Amino acid sequence: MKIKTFLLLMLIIGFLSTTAWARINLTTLSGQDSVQTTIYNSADLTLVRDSRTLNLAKGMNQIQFSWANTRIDPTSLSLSIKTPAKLATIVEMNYPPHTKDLGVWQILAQQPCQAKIDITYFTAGLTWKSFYMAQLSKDGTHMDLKGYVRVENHSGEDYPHSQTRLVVGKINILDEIAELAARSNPYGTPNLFPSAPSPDWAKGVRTLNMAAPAMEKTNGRLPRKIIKQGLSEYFLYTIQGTQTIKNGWAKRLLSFEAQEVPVQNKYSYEFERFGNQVVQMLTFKNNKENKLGLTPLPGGQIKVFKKLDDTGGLSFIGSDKSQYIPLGKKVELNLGQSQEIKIIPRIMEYKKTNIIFDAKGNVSGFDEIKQMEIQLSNFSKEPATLEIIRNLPDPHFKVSRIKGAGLFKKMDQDTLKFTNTLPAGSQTKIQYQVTTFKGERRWQ
Amino acid sequence: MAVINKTTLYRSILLGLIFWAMAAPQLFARTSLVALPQREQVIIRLADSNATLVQEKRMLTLKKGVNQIDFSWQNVSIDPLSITLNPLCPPDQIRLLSVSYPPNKDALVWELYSSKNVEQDVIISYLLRGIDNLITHEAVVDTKEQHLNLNSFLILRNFSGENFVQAQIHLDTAPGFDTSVSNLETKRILYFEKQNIPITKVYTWDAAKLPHDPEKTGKSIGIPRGYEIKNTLKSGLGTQDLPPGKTRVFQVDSHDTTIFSGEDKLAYLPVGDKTLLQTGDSRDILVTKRTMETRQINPRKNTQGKTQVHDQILKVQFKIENFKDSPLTLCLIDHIQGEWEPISIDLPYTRKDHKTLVFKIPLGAKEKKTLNLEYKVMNIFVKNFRQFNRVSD
Repeated sequence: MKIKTFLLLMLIIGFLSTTAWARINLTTLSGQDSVQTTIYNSADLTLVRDSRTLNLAKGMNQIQFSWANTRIDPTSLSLSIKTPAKLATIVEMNYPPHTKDLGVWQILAQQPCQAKIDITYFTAGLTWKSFYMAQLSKDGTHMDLKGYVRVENHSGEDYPHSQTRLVVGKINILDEIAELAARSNPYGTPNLFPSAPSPDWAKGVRTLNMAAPAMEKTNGRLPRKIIKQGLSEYFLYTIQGTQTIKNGWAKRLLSFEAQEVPVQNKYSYEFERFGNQVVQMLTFKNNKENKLGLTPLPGGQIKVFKKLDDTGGLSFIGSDKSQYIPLGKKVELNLGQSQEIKIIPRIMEYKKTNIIFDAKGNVSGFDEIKQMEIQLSNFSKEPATLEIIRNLPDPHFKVSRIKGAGLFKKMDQDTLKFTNTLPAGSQTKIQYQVTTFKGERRWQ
Repeated sequence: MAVINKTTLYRSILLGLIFWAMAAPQLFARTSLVALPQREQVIIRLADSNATLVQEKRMLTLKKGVNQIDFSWQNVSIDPLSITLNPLCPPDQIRLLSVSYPPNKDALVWELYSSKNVEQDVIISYLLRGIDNLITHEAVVDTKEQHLNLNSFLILRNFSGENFVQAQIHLDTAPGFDTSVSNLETKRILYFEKQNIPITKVYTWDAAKLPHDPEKTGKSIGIPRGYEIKNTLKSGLGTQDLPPGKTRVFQVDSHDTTIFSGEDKLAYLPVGDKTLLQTGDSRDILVTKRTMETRQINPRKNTQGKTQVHDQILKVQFKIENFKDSPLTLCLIDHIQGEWEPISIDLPYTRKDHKTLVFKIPLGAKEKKTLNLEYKVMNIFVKNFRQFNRVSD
């Protein structure tokens, strides 16, 4: 790792005995073996694993680790000895007084040895988000879908040639990593004295941003692949090879590409959800039958374009933000109001029947009958599938006398759904009767 | 030894291509600077007022190996996540390796691998803010108010920060055309015109919107008037949707000049649909609505003798007077709440829904007419369930 603001020093102090400082070796740390960053998207948290090789002398060895002007959580610092685990033991780790952003490990080696160690810590400022671009076919029945991830580095530190992994999943954290990183004392103080002011991160990042931008060396001639892997409740995206993401830079990576994914265009009317308008919905399923289904799809903005010709001509249809899409789930994208499909629901007849009275002669209940009519118009040049959801304010009702083409389904106790496919340039009507039982008639 | 070639696309204010060919990625040992070929074609697709899709066709000179293309912009608002580069060639010839965003700059860097030295057309697409369009219409109605001529204008507003020279402009609802438009420039372009579109003049009196006894208001009450237009082939239209926009209506006068007769916002008018352009009020038609009689019948009482439910018979009279010296058709709309049934209604009507009656009443020049309605409202609740005397949607 290029050391600029982030300093990792090994101070190896070898003792001939535990009581006498007979011989002292002071050595800077060897280069990194590898760096791995695991970036979460549900919290501003990245797990960094820094693998190194140490030459330990017999006796007590001190390893100093400092992290000025970064956004590292000092409470997350951890060192583990991978090999030889039996010959070296971590005795303690301390945060020296009067020295900020510094941690020291004491490692006791039973004999001189070369140790493979992993230093892990959390840092804030490395984030990623996913987004998508869809290109609908000219007839609107299929789409080519590309998923991207954009990784941003505002951690205050460069991460050159690191293996980058992205975690899809929601984690629970008690404290924000950025807040922990800003503390003057790693674990705070016992509230005896007021704490020192927090460092000005924005200033630090700006200073770092002045570093000259440089592109990563591309060894191969193929785009980076992202390998996906399920892990408990999480999904791990591992970017092939290593990435260099310098502080202040962002990188866009192709996460997946699916060709000719079948899609359904649907027009929806639901007053309570969309207001008095028809919205165009694009639906597809995240499963293998529909040429997807290899991984869950992280939430992100989806921009939808339509192919106009074979020479790259496009038209921007609209965009929507998708939530996390598990395997097998149907996705509905709201592409905005449709001007060419009109749906007008009306009450055509109204009656009250079966009025009942209590023992004192007061009205105690009745049936309310509404003869409903939904007028559907398709002014477009394509057939259109329309879905109308009607939410009734009262669950005590029955539906009868349904007329008109299409499908009817009672979704739950107070929701009706009508589905109809209309040829281009056509109009039709759906008629039905709703009888709602009021007052004591609810018990009839 | 790897070869990295570097190209810069720098938008707005300065637009140029810098082509860096390097003997080694670390060393600028052999650097050549090549001027950017002019954009071969720019297509601007105006669809969404929040974002306009711009597609640029350019020829890039790529060296065999890895090429870097810097795309940066200043003083323009480009959605960085929307920027794409598509080479117009087989995918194995040129491959996009990576996309990077430098810090604190409106820029991105593409890495392209080319299998050979080549001059290659590419399409760069992005969503740009600050350039959009409005539509305005101008309609000229003939003296007899039976036809109108329609001119539709595209107002192209370019405040994007970018100058466009001979760009192809496309709308969803109209064929494309070529034009140049500079930054901060607004252009008004006639993009659609049609002559002799048949119209129907419509006067609408709605009981829910206008006073029932205009004489008592002490004001001169106007009845909204307008022209109904159908977007159909029979009307001489019907080939494309008419986009929404402010519509100024003029009328040819007796001197063969025109007067301005009002304006309205045309709603989006798809092919096959009709709409009404309301241009003003007419004060030459007087409509008075009076309730002549209300009779409570059929009371149902509780044990204390108090009425709980009853019916009602109402007699309503409309007096309609045309002061014009020409015939017209008045659209009269009345509303009856609750559960009701007609007893006698003088003139034919249609029920738009359970409570809305629409009468189309022809009136001769200077003609007076009377419309009588008698109807029964049933099952009116006096105490419990009174909220159901009005019908909720």
